[in-house]
Amino acid sequence: MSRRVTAAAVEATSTEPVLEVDGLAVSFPTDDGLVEAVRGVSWSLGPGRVLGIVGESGSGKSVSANALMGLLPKNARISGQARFKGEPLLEMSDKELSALRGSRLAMIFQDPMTSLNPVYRIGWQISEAIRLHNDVTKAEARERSIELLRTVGIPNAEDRVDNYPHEFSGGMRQRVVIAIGMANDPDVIIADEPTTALDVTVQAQVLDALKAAREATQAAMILITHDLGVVAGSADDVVVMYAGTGVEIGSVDDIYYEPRHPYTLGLLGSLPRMDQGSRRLTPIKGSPPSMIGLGHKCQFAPRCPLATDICWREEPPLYPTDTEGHVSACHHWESLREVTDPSQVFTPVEIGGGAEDEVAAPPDESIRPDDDLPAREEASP
Amino acid sequence: MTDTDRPDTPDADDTTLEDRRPVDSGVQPSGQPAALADTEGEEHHDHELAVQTRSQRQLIVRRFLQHRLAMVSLFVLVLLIIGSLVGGSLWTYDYAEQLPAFNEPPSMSHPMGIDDIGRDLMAKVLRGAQRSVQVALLVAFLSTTVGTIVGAIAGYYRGIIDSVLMRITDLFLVIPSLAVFLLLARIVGGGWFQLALIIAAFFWMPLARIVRAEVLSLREKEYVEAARALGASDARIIVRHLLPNAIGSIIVNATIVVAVAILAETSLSYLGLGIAAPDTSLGLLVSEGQAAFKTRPHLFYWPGFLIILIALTVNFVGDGLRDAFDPRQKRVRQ
Amino acid sequence: MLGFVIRRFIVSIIVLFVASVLIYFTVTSFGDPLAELRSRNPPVPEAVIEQRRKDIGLDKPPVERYLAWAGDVVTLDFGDDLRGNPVNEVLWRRLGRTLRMVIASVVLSLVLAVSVGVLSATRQYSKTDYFFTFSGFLFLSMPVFWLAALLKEFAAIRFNNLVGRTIIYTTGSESPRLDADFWGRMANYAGHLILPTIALALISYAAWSRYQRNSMLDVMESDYVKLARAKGAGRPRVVFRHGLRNALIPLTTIVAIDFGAVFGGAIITEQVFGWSAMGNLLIEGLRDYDVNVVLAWMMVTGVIVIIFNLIADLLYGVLDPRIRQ
Repeated sequence: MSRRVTAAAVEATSTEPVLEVDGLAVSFPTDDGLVEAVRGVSWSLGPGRVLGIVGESGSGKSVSANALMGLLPKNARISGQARFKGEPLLEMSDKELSALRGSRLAMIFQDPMTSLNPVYRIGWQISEAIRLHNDVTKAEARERSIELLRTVGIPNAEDRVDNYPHEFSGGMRQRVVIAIGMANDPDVIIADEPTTALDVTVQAQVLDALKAAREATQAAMILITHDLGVVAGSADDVVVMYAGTGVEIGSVDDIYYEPRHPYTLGLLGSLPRMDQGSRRLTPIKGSPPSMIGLGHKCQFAPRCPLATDICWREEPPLYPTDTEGHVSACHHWESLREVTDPSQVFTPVEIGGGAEDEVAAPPDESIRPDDDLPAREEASP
Repeated sequence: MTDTDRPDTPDADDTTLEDRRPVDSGVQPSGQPAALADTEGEEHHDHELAVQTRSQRQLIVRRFLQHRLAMVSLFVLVLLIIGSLVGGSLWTYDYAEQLPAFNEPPSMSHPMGIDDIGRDLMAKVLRGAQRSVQVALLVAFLSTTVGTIVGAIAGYYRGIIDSVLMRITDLFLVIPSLAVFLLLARIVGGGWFQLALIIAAFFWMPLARIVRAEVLSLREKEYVEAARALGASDARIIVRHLLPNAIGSIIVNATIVVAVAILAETSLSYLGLGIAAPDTSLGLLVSEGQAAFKTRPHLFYWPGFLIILIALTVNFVGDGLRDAFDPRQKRVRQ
Repeated sequence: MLGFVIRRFIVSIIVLFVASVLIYFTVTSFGDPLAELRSRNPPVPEAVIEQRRKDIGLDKPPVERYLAWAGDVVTLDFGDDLRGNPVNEVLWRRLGRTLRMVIASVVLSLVLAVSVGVLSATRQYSKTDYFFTFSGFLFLSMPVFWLAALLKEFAAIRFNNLVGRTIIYTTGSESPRLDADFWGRMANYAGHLILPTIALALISYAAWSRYQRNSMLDVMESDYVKLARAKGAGRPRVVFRHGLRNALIPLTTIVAIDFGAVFGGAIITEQVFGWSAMGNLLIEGLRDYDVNVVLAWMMVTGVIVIIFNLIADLLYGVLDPRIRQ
């Protein structure tokens, strides 16, 4: 039942992307207007690779993932292209998608406390995932469930398989969800903010479980998060999303050491780091825009210290930059070549007197589709 | 039998009248604050935000006004109530008036006819409506007042008062309320006022529980602590801070009480143990109308329709109020 | 979980005990059991009245009287009614009839409420949803006596005429002097049961179905339902195995709380259809100031309500593993 793909076989496989997204856009009609949650994002995921999608709340990262899985509410308007191993995803019927979901495409949600059905034992819930796509007996599914629990690091798996979700802690529940995701050796695992709702100490355990899942299934992974630290440790490539679209895409090294978009630079500057001695944080002033009625401009312009006239008139396309596959949606990406530290572009935080938070449009919180994400932290002192 | 042993479905509305958050009213977000100059020192796009501060109260009223069914129902309900309360005195005949004719079918001057002891039936229906509405309104007022006070005290002080309250409400759940009404009505007699007291003696309890639950959850909020630190007395905290935030639940449940009370009173009167002759109630009228169904079916239908209409409009208004107070409802256009 | 049920049981016993005290003193406060004697003409001698007082036990202090009564009740001895017949003779038969109606209507109500709730939730904002919502409100606002009377006047007669036979009965709980085999009896009971059950069920289903709809909507928005879809489960499985299974849980609480109301509605419905059951027993007992009858009625009803609540508690524990701790 389990596919154990050897490393050689991976190399022998063509480097055709296993998941490809081209100009994906998602919008929701609401009483206040059309919310353009995703405004055209494109990336591709190679087999066995890890793609980190990074962005603030409301950037559209969760919505785009849910769109791929067909899990958005009925009133969502989706356009663009998405291909799973060449098959068009967005045109599939619910029935066709159901065959893929859980078997070839798996998803892990953010809040482990609510992801599991409280009235069924977790063994049953894992077995359900298996038996939905495989013709096996209950006993076989149960054996496999125990095996999966061991893989994700649940101690005493033979006993705990009969427990109910409320008998598990948050971190363990998330690992159960990962076990469910990996049950049928999927080709792609989409992890939507898997560690956001958890304590930092537990995060490491969950990330380890994800790693174990990847190794066991050889699946490619999409890791959605707003935590740059999480991405740094796990991802091969990164898509930085802002205001519903990708603003910088590249390998993890490119993004972290040679960022070519001011937003990325700002994100990096907001991150306290242990390896850089004492250094003032350089937060990005303001907040992400409301996703209704966005005009045609660079959406980051209101918060960008480098913004000029053209930034206010034209939404930048993804310009190719120095390295292969590294693109940036910034008219002034070249000027970032000279920048070695975020404080060269963003103002460091003042100790004592705080710089006023120059506010761009406060977003209308009632129309936020990413409802289960935690409240947006203000990037001001 | 209490609901403290079961996971409560959270229904306490968390938003408070204290919240005055700036709310966007569908505004151009592409405006840039004038102060954020770029590196070249130019200013772009003056601040065009039109941010309105709307109090919670305005939002609630606005939401209610948008609920068409509730608005129509409110209109009809107000008409019904006013009509019931004053209709009798405006009508040409008095309900107890003895007329020279007997058993007449409906006519121009007597739209519902005359009953077999010579009384104008239209006047009786109006009188019945008046009594039933009076009872319902009085019950709602009494039970809401008592329930709110007791519930607020129980929820705020907790301890013995709270336990006693919970046990009392448990107690009254043991016997079906109608049976207790029948018993008490038999003991106390059939005046409308006594009837209202009896019914209210039961109906204050669910409201007390609801207010208690709200107060329990609200008393932990920071503004309560702040008020206490400022030296506010308990009474002040309860009245000025806690109750206004529970008002949504209170109002919604008060409307439910009106509807249930009218059904309770008419049921008692139908069974003969409520408002009795010579006075009348809609319930009693239905009972009489049922007996005379072959000859005067309208006497069965009309009082019934009135009861249904009153209860229905009250229920719709209550539903509209619930929608207005509860912002968790996300109506997304299809 | 056993501990949970036992705890509830003990609490119920205590509540029943306290209620019995209240009931006893309330009921015995009205009406003078000797009034009938006193009002006779020619007047009864005082000595006879005094003797009667001693016989009934009215000369003893209230607490002692209460304890004596309570002691009897526990052994199911409810004493005699005003005519001298043991209350037990009438009580249990009538209880059986009422329970028939109550149980049948609760079952029908549940079936309707769950079906309508699920249908409304899965087709939210559709015409079906609005229709059920509106009709739900309508039945919620309708007095049960009016609906019952309406059904009685129309449904039975029309249907019977259509079929040519009397299938639906409008009076009584069974045909008098019925001589039939088991199935014949059942059919007869059913024929008498149909209309009252429908009347009662339509009223209570309305409240429950609204509740069920909201419960279902809440559950369908949950993460675990989304996860079930992400696992590849088809829509029916998601709606029933994951959605409904959870949405049913709060319904048990609601039904338990509403049980008293259903019983009350049964009292009224029985009067409309002329059943000789608990409703009539209470009303007549009250009218005649028949203390023993009323007391017995209250206690037995209280016990029935408690039993149903315990069943609901058990069911809750079965449905929701979280409560079993």
